[in-house]
Formats: sequence, C-alpha cells, structure tokens
Amino acid sequence: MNNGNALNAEKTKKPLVGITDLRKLYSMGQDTIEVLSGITLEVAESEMVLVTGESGSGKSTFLNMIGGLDTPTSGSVMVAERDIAKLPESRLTEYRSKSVGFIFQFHYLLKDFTALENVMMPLLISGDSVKETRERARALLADIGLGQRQDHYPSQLSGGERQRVAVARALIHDPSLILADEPTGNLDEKNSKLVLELLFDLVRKYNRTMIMVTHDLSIRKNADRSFLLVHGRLAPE
Amino acid sequence: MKNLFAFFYGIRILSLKRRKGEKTRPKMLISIVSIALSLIPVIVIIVVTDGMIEGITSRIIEFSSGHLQSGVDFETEADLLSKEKDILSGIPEVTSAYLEREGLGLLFHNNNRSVISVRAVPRDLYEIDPGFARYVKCSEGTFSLEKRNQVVIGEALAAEFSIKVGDTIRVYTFRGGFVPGMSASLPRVTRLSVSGIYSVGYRELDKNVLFVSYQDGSLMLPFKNSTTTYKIKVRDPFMDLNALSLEIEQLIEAKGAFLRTTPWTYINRNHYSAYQTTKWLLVFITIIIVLVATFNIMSSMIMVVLDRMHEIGILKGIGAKPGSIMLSFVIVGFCTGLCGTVLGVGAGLFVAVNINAVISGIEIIANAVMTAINWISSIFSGSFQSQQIQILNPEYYLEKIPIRIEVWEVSIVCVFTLLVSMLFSYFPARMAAKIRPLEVIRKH
Repeated sequence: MNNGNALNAEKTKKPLVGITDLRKLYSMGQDTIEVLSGITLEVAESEMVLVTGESGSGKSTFLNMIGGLDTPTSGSVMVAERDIAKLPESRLTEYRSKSVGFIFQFHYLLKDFTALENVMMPLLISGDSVKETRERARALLADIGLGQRQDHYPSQLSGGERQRVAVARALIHDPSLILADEPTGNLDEKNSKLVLELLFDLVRKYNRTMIMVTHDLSIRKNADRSFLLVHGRLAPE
Repeated sequence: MKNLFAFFYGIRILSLKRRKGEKTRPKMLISIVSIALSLIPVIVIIVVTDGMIEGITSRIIEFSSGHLQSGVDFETEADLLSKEKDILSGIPEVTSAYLEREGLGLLFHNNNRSVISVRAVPRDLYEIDPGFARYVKCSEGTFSLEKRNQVVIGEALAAEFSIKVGDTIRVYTFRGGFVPGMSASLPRVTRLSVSGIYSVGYRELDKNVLFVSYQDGSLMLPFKNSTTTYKIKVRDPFMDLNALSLEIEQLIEAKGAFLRTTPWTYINRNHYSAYQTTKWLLVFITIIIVLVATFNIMSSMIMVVLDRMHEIGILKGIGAKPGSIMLSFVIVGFCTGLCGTVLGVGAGLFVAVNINAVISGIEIIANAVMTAINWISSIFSGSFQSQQIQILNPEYYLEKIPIRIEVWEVSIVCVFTLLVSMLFSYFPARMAAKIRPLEVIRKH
C-alpha cells in the first residue's frame, strides 16, 4: 500500500531516510503478531517528522529499526544511502555512534558520570580527544542553560534537567539523524514544554533531521510533517 | 585514541567510591584484598626458602664439600698433587685449593662416645679460605691448628660431651691393618687438645665434625681408610662449574694423569634437589590459593556486569562497540589484579624481610599463652610444666633465616597473577560485550 505523496520527502531536498515496505513480525508461541505492516516513508535532510499513535502501536519498534537497534523482518531502511537492515553488528555500532542521536522517554543518563561526562560520552566512544570533547560538551551545556550544572550527577538534577542533558548528549557528535522516542513522556507539562522547545530549537539551529514518536498531539504544529501509526501502517495527519 | 572510552569507563567502574544502594565496588575491593592476602604467603615462601636454600647450601659448600672436588686415588701421586696445585693456581676463577683428608673416628670423653668425622685440613685453612672463615665462627677459643694434636670441634658436639677449650679428648681411628688371627681392625688412639669451638649456624654441621691439621690427620687416618680430596674454591660457586671442572680435568690430563673433578652441584645434588623440590611444592600449593583468590575477580565482575547491565545497554545503544565494552572490563580485571599484586607483593616482601622478627614475635606470644595455660593447669594439677615452642627447630634449620629476594621469581608471580586476573575477567567482559541494547531498553 502506498500512503501517497505525503510519505515522500520534499522534492527540493535530498532524502536522508528512505524506508521501503518495512515489516516487523513477532512470534509469541504459536501466534505471530505483525507490528509493522509494510511502511514506506522518505524523510528529507533537515526535516522534522512526527509519528503519533496509541501505546503499543509500534512507534518505538519503528524508531528502533531506523536507529539500528532492531532488525526488520523484511523491507529496507536506507539512511544516507546505507541499508541499515543489512549492516553487520560492527557497522551498526559505528552507525549509531556517528550518524544517530537517540533521545529516549527515560533520560538513560549514566549514574556515575557527571552531566558533562554524560554529554561527552558519544564523542569519547568515537575516539575524539578528551580536551576537545570537554570543550564542546561545556559549550553545548552552556547553550542549553546547564553550564552551572555540568559537574552535577544525574541524581542531583531535576527530571527536566536530566532530559535536557540527554538532548545535549544526542546532539554533541553532530549526528545527521535524531531519533526521539517520547522524549517528554516522563516529564510534567512545564518541563515537557521546556524540553520540546529546546529540542526543536536545537534541531533547527544545527539544521538536523529528526524523527520523533510521541502520543502528544499538541506538538504536531512544530513538525514539518506528522503521521499516525495505526494497525502497523502510517497515515498522514 | 580509539580505546580512550574503554579506559575511561573501565577506570570509572573500578572507582572505589560506593554508588548509592550498590554493593559492587566493595566487591572489587574484596577481590583486591583477597588477591593481596593470597600473594603474601607466596612471596614469603619464595623469599624465605630461597634464603634458607642459599644459607644452607652456602654453609655446606663452604664448610664441607667445597665448590669443586678433585678425587685423589693413590698416596703415591704426591707428585701429581703438587702439579695440580700449580695447574689450579693458574686458573683465574680459582680462589683457593687445598688438600683435605676425611675419615671416621670414635670420640671418647667423660664416659661418652660418638662416631665423628675427622677432617684433616691445612693449618692455615682459616687464612687461605675466606669462604670457610666467613661461615665458621669460633664461639670459644680460636680456629688454631698450629701446634701438634690441636683440634677444633663443633659447638653442638662440645655441648653434647661438655667439652671446653683446653680439654683433652681421645679419638679412636683405624690404623689400616688387622689384629693377627682376628677380623678386628687395629685402632689408633690420639689425644687431642681442644683449641677452639666453632659454629656454622647450622646445627647439622656443628654436631659431628672435628678439625685437625693435615699433618696430624695423615697419622690418624691412613690413606686407604679415608678420603683424600683437593677442595677447590672459586669466585662464584653458582657459575657453570661443569665447564670449569672439565677445564681442570683437561689441564691435568695434559700433564699425563687423570683426576675426576666434580662440582658441588653434583656432590650435593640430593640435598639441593630436595630443597628445590620442597620449595616449588610449597609455591605450587600457595599458587592454588592465588588462583582461588583471583577467581574471585570473576564472581565480583559478574556482579558488576549484572549491576550495570542497563548502563552497558545504553552505552551500546549510543554506539559503544562490544570490543570497547569488553576491553573496559578486562581493564577492570587487570587493575584489580594489579592493585592486589602491588599490595600483596609489598606486604609479602615486608613480612619476608622481617621474617626473623615475625617468627620471634609469634614464638613469644605462643610461649606466653602456653605459660599461662600451664600456670592455670598447675593450679589444679599441682605441677607446673614449662614447654618452650620453637617454630623452626635449629636442629634442622638455620639459626637465623637469611633473606634472598630473587627479582625474577617475584616478577613471574606478578606476571602470573596479572595474566590470571585478565583471564578470569575475560568471561564477565564477554558477557558484558554480548548485552543487547534493545533488550535492556525494553526491560526498562
């Protein structure tokens, strides 16, 4: 099934993500559950795409496949002209460390590391120098208003601050694609607004591509395009 | 640097700062302590047994066997012996060489008797053989054989027979012939005046040997009933003496004769190999303790991996390679082993260097406890029995344990501990590397 032109990237921009007939089946004993039923979608560079849907509709599974955390049953996920579904584990690791910035529903910061060290982590994993990494992380934390909190541990930060640090961690290594999985799902309204504003501002400022899944319909206005995931298929909203 | 993250993360895992509600760091600390404790006996055994072996071996070779011995078969070869002396004086490694005759005798004194070894040595032995003089010290009198029929006896022998300097002792030896019509050998009785009482510091060598001059000994011990040897001392008794003995034999052969020259390692091979075997057996047993202690790293690290499973999943989710995660945990194992090794080897060397004081201290405490127990029991039994505990009986061991630190042996123990630490950390490291980020995220 084709969901029409709405599923294609803007013709003037080069597509960064190209998903074709993506399917995901899970076996539950004798039963097989089809979570994704042949999704096709193109996302252009610098585009912000929103995917909404009910809990359990397969939003996170969809995002995990684009991020190389999960493998599809069939179909292809092309990111920057590489088929993620066919990459070996070693190349997937490299893809995650260089091309993707993840923001999860829960902040997933490392408890033993300060805010600064958490933000530095993706660059350290890539093998960048400590000095340069520290400078970049400091600048980014200052940019998001957490310059004074850089030496605090996650346990010493509020929920909103932790999620802002997680946003900084997702952006520090200049990924071409940002994947946000319900980034405000654990926050109160005030903090949700703050984090979303920050996220959209930063993505625009650094001209990044973002795919966000959420069940918060109120943020549709911030996205270039938005889709509803229902019965394993994407429908434009 | 590609593996910077592995070091950064590994060192942070090892950090001894306890996380809120977490018990894994003290567990790594326990691994460090258990490795350190297990290494103490290994190091002490290595250092002490090396010292004991060297101490006993040095005393035996300086006092008894010499470094090399040339067997002398016939008395008529006096001419050859003088030739050998000339030959030996021409070899730079040789520091001294002298003729010695040794045979059995029967010591009579104060109605006591004992079979003893009579050693006939040069009158100036104490001057010509510095190695002998270094270990043989006179507790009474002097090592003097200048006058006729003078004798120097061992401290343990003197104590057993209540002999003092200036006393006259009788020594029965064999003349070499037989009583006509009987199978009994003709005895010779020699009265000897005690000029000195010596001690080597090893009771085994002090209890059945007496020294007389070679001239007196030649009369007391007929050639056929005794052993006459050339005792040769060299600069370094631990050098390759086989090559030197061969060189001496060839030089003598060039003079038209053959004298078998044997190094001390062959003469004392039973003693020496028994000591070495005992040492390595002890090291082997204690190494098993180290292995068990090092195995602790594996269980501790499995706990760390389980505790940090979520964190590892996140790190892999943001791009950490399985190899980097694995390296982080191997680094943790290595650092744990390193800390344990440094502490254990340090403590082991400290105990080993002070082993004499440690043993004395233990003896003092043990004897104080025993005295107290005996005193209490005497209240009920009415009789007080005093028993002195000696951990190392000087009958069989050196009076004072020498310390010898063989750097290569200690290094092997260190390297072994580090390798085993890394080996045991490999399995939990592999377990960490296999964690799948998606499963962790889903579980959360």
